Amino acid sequence: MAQIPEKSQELLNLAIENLQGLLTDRTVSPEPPKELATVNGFPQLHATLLEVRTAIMGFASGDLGCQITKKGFLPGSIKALQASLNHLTWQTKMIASGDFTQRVDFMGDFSESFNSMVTLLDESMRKLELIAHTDPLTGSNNRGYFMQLLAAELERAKRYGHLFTVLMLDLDHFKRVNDSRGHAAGDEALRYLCRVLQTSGLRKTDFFGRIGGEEFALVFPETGIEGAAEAAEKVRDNLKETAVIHEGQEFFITASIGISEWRFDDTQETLLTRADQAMYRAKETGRDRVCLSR
Amino acid sequence: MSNDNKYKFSWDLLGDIKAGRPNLGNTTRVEVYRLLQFAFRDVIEQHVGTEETDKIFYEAGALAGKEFYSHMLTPTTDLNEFVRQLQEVLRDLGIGILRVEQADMVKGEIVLTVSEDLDCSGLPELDYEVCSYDEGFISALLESFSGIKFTVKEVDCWCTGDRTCRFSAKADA
Repeated sequence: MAQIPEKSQELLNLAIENLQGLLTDRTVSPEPPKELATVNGFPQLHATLLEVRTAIMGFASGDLGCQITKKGFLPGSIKALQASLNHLTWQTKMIASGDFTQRVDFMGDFSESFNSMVTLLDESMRKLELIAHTDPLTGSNNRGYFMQLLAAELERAKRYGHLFTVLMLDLDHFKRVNDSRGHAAGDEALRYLCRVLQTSGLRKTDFFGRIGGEEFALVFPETGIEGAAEAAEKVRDNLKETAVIHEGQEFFITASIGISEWRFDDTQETLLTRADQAMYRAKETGRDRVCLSR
Repeated sequence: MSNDNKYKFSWDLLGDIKAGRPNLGNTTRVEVYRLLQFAFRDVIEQHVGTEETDKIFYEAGALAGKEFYSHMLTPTTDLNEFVRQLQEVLRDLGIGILRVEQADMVKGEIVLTVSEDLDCSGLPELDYEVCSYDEGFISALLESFSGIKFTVKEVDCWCTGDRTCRFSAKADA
């Protein structure tokens, strides 16, 4: 075996010690030993390892922002990890903003757990939204959500100039049902009304909600007052044709309906008020009828 | 240059592949794509020099990106939806695996990476970035999505020893 000159052996030992230190020591000098500063390629190797070391230490303490300027397989692999972690951070931000379509596919077992978590979050959010939007008794939209949908419809109508109509529907003599047959029968009457609304040929774009005790509001987009009146008559007919059945006993219910058509300067309040006034006119003129606000 | 050039691009030029390749189908090997691209790059560079070649590839990428957006993506104004669609189609077509590192549309700054890139992943180390076509492609995708012109620069590339290509996109002032 060829002998290494003593001077070279000393430099080699120093280089090994220095590189070993970059791997194992808690603190290191940012510069290579001065004896090695002129050794061809050593300062560059020292600088590369130092940068990789700094980046890994940064990652270990949660800092993903370090700049890795060196090229080559090892710095490149660290940058790939940095890119993956940065992407994961971005994905988490997107999930936090409500985008539950994000999935991770580059982190082994973590990906599976993360994706399961997002799926569960998505399902939970949907359930919570449903609860927040739904009237628990009838399963229809609750007042708050109906008003949100109505606000969106108003915006849409203003933007595109498309007309729509609002119906206010109130069950007739509902108090009598409650007083004579009990609240459970009244509840069944409300559920029955919702089933009738759902099976009276409403389109996918139509929507309704329970506004108060026995009062419901419906919206028919892209529909004028005549078309809405036709649909309302159908609902009214369907409602009174079939009996509500509660604990083996049958009874019939009717409804009074008022309709208003959107005007450009309408607010939710003015639109609903006109429909409400028409509905009270229907009550005052004998109930079980449809009145229009012209 | 006038728009009535002989080789003016049209999506129709991609042809009816189903009719034209009933046996071989709609796939080929990545080497074939790279053979074409790097042969073009060599010959064009010999004719017009390195800088112009990079510019030509950037502009070609931008033209392709614009056409790609209008034919392969559904227009949207939602960044998440845009990224989701793009990730899906790039993966499905075997172009690369797109990941977003940062996106600030207000500042007009986006950093994204493409792994297993069609153009460069697996190439020998060359000490320079080669994805100028991708730069143009991404710039046009971002412009088509946002209506804002972007300049895209590749900051890391497989060819410079990195495992993933990283692109920095900045909205033009």
